Amino acid sequence: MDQEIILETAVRAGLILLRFGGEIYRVEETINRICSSYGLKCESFAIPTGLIVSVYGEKGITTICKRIPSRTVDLQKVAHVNAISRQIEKTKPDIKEVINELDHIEKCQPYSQVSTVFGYALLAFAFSMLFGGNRYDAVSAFLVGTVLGVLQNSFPKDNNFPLIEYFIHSFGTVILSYVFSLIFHDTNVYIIIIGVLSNFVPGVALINGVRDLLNGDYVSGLAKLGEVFMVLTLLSAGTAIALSLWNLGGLS
Amino acid sequence: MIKLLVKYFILSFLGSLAPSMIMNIEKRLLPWTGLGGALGYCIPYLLGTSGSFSAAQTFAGALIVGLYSELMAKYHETPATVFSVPAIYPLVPGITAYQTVQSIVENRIQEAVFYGINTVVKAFAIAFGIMLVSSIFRMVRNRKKFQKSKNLSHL
Repeated sequence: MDQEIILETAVRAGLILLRFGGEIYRVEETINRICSSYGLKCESFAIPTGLIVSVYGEKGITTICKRIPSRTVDLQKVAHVNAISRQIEKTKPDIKEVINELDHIEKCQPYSQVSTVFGYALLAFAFSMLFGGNRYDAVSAFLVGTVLGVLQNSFPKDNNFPLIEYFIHSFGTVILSYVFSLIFHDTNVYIIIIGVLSNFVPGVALINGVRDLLNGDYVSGLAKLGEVFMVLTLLSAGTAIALSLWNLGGLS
Repeated sequence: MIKLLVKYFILSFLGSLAPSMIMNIEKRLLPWTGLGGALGYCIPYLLGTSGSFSAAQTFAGALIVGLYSELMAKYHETPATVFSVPAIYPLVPGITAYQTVQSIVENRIQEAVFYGINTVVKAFAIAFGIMLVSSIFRMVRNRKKFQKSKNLSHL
């Protein structure tokens, strides 16, 4: 079988994992597993922003280097690629079947935009109740969450500077929450704000960073924890600036 | 008491079901991710005395979430992150983080330090709890793999 096709397929599987929130050891393990199932010796090196893979076969050494422009979270794709790599190890299907399945995974869109927006709103609702809010807080959190969900969906997916989104989100959340607190009188503004901002907790980066560190991938682990730190900094900066502006206006 | 517990159970269930919708987790797994968040919030709630979570309670919650997600990952044959990421959302110290920012804005630096350290400690408690459980699971798995390869080398 052709060495280059196998390498390309393995790298595609690895790229899906890297782009949609897989851990580094999973990326490297998947690539090595696919290559060695088809009888190639393989070395792979992945960091959160890129990927280098070399295989050693009959045609000599072939290397692919890929840079990852943007990352989002889609854990279904990660789970599917993981399942495929296990299946390859067991049954060794034809490489064309694997390519077809990867095409299918890249296309699949399990939730519509409406249900994603509903997810944002539901999360804001649940957390504002959990933090001890009354029903007015919960309703306004639901509405602010809907607006933020629409805003999040309207951002371009391959953004060059994705972190600024968090600043805009937290700024918008604080302003909108104060506006809603003026509409419903019986509300606690801070509960609405925390409920809505819980949407933007960088959970995947935190968990994956910890798991990478644990596995000895210090570069990637610390990079992901750095991402967590950056996201939290921008969220608090947006909140702080919006709070100060509102206080300056003397409206609270 | 029981009424409050049921309320918190439902809310933390929803609070970890909603992030799984945002993160595109498969529909058949949604009830299980919700259950993980609910267990990880309600069991530490029973251990404590006051309404708000202490660092120790957060740590207990993270241990439960880690254990649950590793077991579920084995049962459903998916990565453990699918269950652990949504389930930590109810444990995240949102209120103390907000209080930190608010005290900075109102120039009460001493309080800001107090709340800030509180937030950092709770965040580390979550990270360390998950880390502890998954490292134990990985140790067991590696030992099994090692023994298998040892057996094969004898043949």
